Amino acid sequence: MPGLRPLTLVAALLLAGSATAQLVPEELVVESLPEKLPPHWVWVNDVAFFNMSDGRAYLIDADTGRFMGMVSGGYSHLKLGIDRRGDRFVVPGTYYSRGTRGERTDVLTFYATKNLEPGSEIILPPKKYSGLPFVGTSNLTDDGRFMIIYNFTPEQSVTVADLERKALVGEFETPGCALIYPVGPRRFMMQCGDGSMQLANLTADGRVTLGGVSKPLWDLDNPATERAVRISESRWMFFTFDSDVIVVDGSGDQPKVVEKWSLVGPKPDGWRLGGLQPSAYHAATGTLYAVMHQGGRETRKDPGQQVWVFDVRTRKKIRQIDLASPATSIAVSEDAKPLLYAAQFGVPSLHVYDALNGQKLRSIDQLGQTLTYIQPAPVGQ
Amino acid sequence: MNRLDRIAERLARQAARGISRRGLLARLGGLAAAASVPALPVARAQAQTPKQQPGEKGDPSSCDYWRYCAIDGFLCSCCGGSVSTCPPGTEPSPITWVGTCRNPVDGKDYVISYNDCCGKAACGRCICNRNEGDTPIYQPQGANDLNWCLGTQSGVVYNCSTAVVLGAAS
Repeated sequence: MPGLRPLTLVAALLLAGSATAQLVPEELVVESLPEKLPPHWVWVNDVAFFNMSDGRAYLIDADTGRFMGMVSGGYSHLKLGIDRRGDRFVVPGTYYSRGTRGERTDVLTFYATKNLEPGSEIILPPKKYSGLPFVGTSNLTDDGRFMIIYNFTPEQSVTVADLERKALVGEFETPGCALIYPVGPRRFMMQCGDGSMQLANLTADGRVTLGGVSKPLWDLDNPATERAVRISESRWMFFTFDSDVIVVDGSGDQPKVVEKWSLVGPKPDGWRLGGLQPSAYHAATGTLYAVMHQGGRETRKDPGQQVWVFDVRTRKKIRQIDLASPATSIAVSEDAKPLLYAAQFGVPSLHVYDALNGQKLRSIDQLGQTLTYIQPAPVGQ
Repeated sequence: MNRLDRIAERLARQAARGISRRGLLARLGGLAAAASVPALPVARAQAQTPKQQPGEKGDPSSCDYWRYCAIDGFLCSCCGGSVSTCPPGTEPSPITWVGTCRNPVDGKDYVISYNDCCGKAACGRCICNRNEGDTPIYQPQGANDLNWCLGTQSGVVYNCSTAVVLGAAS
């Protein structure tokens, strides 16, 4: 405005400013969340493999792609113990007094969904399993009363914590057997080194007594992995190195194989289940989602870019979802309009698909470092 | 009992004889393997690199290196150590998982002990995951998804992984 004198310029600016409302002072507050997890919210765990003392979990609204919050999980973070009511969860953590050295403390921390603030604690024996998280490394009983955590020192045991009394119940030896697969209100199965499975029962106050042991349930040359999926209150679906399906029921005196079939059929053409959390089950429709790739046995942990969808009742492949990018972990929301969640260890993104038609809906990027176990919101309680 | 089990059992028996944490290992019933870790925990730096033997070739800082057929983690060869030494200031794990890898130079299979080095944060270099003969974690003697910084004074904090030749597999 070369023709304006300075005073005129100031007046013009003042007039222009008065045309919009002046910003008001703000107050800094902390966000709050719903009391219960909505059906399309999902927790994504990150073991932070490059910085393992800094494990964490991220809470994502998959309908909007918004990052809603997070919790810190300590060293070698496993996964959350999410109560079926969706309003609370516990986090088993390992901490050292000087970060990476000093005195070790294992602790179970209580959280409410509505504020994600750390609450009460239960100090645990400093023996919590350290390694990649799997579905069986820790689990709540279905009613949320007890948290059961697998220990490996390399002695094998489980720790039980009573979430109602907010107290440690104790540590119980499980020699030769590993992991926790709940099969009833006060019962779980474990996988043993010889291919058998062990039953364990909890007393009313949470003490563990070992129950019946099966004969070996799979060939150790083609063993079932620890990357299993629960398909009913008493049944778990296990997958062997060669993608055979073995369904084990834990409702009887000892674990029993009730179904055997194959994801890849008699002519697999190299197709194989792979990943860290390679399958997901949608209970309302009896639908299995399986991450598949082509490769030899040594690729059984590798990512896949196809998701094969099976009707578990007929054991037939009913459709296929071609992922936009490879995945090592998948999960499916529990509601009637299910979303498929997919992530790859080492790639900081969660991808969201329509689980029914396979259409990619959105991605959440800049999400952590080494994503592991995906935990959809519980639905129905 | 397959070959790997026999090897693990033999190693566990050796360990039960040689390591003071005898009760702990004996309870595993042959599941844990203990490597004899020569010259550890302290090896002089000038003697450190590359720690290869005359009868082998390849790049120990590459994931393709023959000894790494069942490894999972950060290669100590990229972290101040080597295939058979831990980086300065870390502590070798006395127990670990084992794999059986074929040396391309002589065509023989060797038992490799993947001892973790512990007590410092993850090195973060040369991440490598190969799963030839790897077992599920309920068969821990051959499982690489476990953190094997166990039985150490410094706790479970994992720094990197070695690949120590224990002997011929046959």
